[in-house]
Order: sequence, then structure tokens, then C-alpha cells
Amino acid sequence: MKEIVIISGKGGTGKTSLTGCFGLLAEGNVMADCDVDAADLHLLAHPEVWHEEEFSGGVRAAIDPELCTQCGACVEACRFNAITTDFQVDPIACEGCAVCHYVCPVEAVELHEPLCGHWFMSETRFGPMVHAALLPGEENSGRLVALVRNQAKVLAQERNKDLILVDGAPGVGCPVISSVTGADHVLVVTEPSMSGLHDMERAVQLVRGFHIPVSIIINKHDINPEIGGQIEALADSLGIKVLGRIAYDPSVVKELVHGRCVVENGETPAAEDIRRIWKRIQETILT
Amino acid sequence: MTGESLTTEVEEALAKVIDPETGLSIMRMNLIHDLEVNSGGAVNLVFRPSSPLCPMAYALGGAIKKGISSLNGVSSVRIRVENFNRADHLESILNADKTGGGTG
Repeated sequence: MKEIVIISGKGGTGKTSLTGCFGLLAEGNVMADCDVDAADLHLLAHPEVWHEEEFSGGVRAAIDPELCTQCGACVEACRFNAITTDFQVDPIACEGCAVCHYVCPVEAVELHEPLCGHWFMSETRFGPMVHAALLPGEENSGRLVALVRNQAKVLAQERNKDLILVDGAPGVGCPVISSVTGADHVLVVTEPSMSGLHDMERAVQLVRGFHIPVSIIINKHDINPEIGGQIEALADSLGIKVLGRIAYDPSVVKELVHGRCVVENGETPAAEDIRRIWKRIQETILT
Repeated sequence: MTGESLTTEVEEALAKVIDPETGLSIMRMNLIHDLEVNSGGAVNLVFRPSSPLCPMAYALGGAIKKGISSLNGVSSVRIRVENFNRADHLESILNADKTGGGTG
């Protein structure tokens, strides 16, 4: 079984659109949407959920007003200013460090595990999919990503699937690290813009830090040939393969707004480029 | 105790080991493979952490060993570790004796 993770560094480069296309072209793999802070692969996959579970991560403090003597020890100790003047815990500001619990002389502060989001197992037109959604403002997305990836692996084992396609999170933070560790290959999708170049370099550095094979795909490569050339030069200097270039193509957006992938629409330039890249992935990564 | 009921007890003990990262039991995460319990109470299993760099592998391995070793009827526990960068080192700790080993 192989696990390929698609990340981007910069958000908005086309990572999820491309993951959806690969999901269709792969025919019957397992999908995992690990962009749990802003999950959107389901917009293309059209999942029918058959399993749903709550996700709780970390702890949050709560003050029992019956026990609280309003001594102020918790207010003084809290580094996040999460305790209001009327001795209630602001759930947004509370980081769950538990210091208030330990300094309270009358044990009026309880810790509880808040509901942070939900995760799902679904059937989709791409194949079975594990996905999740954090509630607004919730954290611990790295832990939820680990859960989603693990359950995708369990599902793949149960159904004898050889490939897991993971839509990773953008950036280089905790959810990205959780998305890529232990993967077989990481595809970094970038675009020819200054931020695309900069964030691609950071993403590549991160992945290489874990000794995971990495390749680059340049989306909308023709919108700025100069920066596109800089991306290729950087990849060359780092010894990283550019798996392919995708042309800027308005039909990508036209399909997306209808919940479809561009490879479902015949022979458009982007669809042709993506099919070519998928063939290269089959030949060089999945063999 | 029959081999079958001891196997059930071992599985139940393993189901109580929770991965703090996901909040799921290691059985649900499919981290335990090839579980064998023989008539003399010898338990053999393969522990496959979810990633070669799993930061919880030592703690989970220790919890697995402790949970099984504490069962009546278990005479020995042998854990093979796979898919982990320091598998040999973790195995040497876990298999040092019946109850010792691990950090969990």
C-alpha cells in the first residue's frame, strides 16, 4: 500500500482540485481529506457519510461558581487572560494549560474535554473517504489529521486498496507535519507567484526534514514564466523532480463551481496536463 | 482458563490502550497484528506504530506490555515491533522481561 500526500505550502494553489482529479484518475483508491481546518474535498467528492464520530482534543477549564471564592489566584496565573472579571473562563482564549486548575486553593476549576469537531467515513465517487471538520476556532488539528490518516489506512487494509491519496493542509504547521510524517511520497503543488515560490521552498524543506521523497507540480505555470523559471531552477538546485506543469485554464473553475473536476470535461488544456502528470505518477511513484 | 477466553482477555486489555494523539484504541487503529496466545499463556504479537517516527511508540509499547502482563494466565509476552525507526531498540526494552520495559 502506498500513501501519497498532496500539500502546497501556499494555500489556493489548486491542491484540492488536483487531489480530486487524481482521485478520479486513480479509480477506487482511498481518499483522506486532512485539510481539517478548512476541509473542502467533499465539495468534489460528494460523500455519502456512513460513519460519524465526535472529536475532542485537549482540555478546557471551567469554574464552578458554587465553589469559587473569587480569590483571583487563577486570574493572576493565567497567561492567556482567559478568566473574566466575573470568574468565568473564556472558551476562545483558554488554551487548556490547566494552570488555573492547579493554583485554585478550593479546587473550583474543573478540566473537561470540549467537542472540537467531527470525523466521517463516506463512500464517494472517488472511492471510500475519511474526512473531518473542526468546529470554528477549534485547535488540535494535527491530532485530528493523525486520526483521519490512520482510519484511511485501516479502511484501505480492510478493502484491499493499494493507494491512499491524502489532501494535506496548506502551510508548514502542525497539521502539515501530521499530514506527511511516514508518507511514501509528497507532491507539493505550487504556482508561479512570489508567495508560491517562497512557500513551496518552505514546504519542501519541511518534507525533506522527514526524509520523505518529494516532487513538485507547477499549476497555472504560464501565468508568470519568469517565476515559473525560478521554481524550476530552485527544484533543480535541490535535486527535486518537477513532475509536471499545468496550464492556466478557465475551465477548471467552471467545473469546480458545478462540483466537478476538470478531468471530467474532455480535452481541455489543464485536463490533458493533469492526465499526463497522473501517468507520470503511476510510472515513477506507484510502480 | 481456556486459550480462547485468554485471547479475548488479551484483546480487551489491548482495546484499553488509547493512543493520546487520536483518542482511539490501538485495536481500532489496527496497530496490533498477528496476535497469538498459546495454551501455556505465552502471548506473541506484532506492534506497528502508525508512523516510523511515532513519538508515542515507546509509551504505547510499554502500555501494551503492562496491560497484557498483568492478566492472570499470561506467562510471557513477546512483542515484535515493525514500521518504526527504532524498532530494534524498542523491542529490546519491551522484551527484556515479562512485566518490565517501556515507558508507558
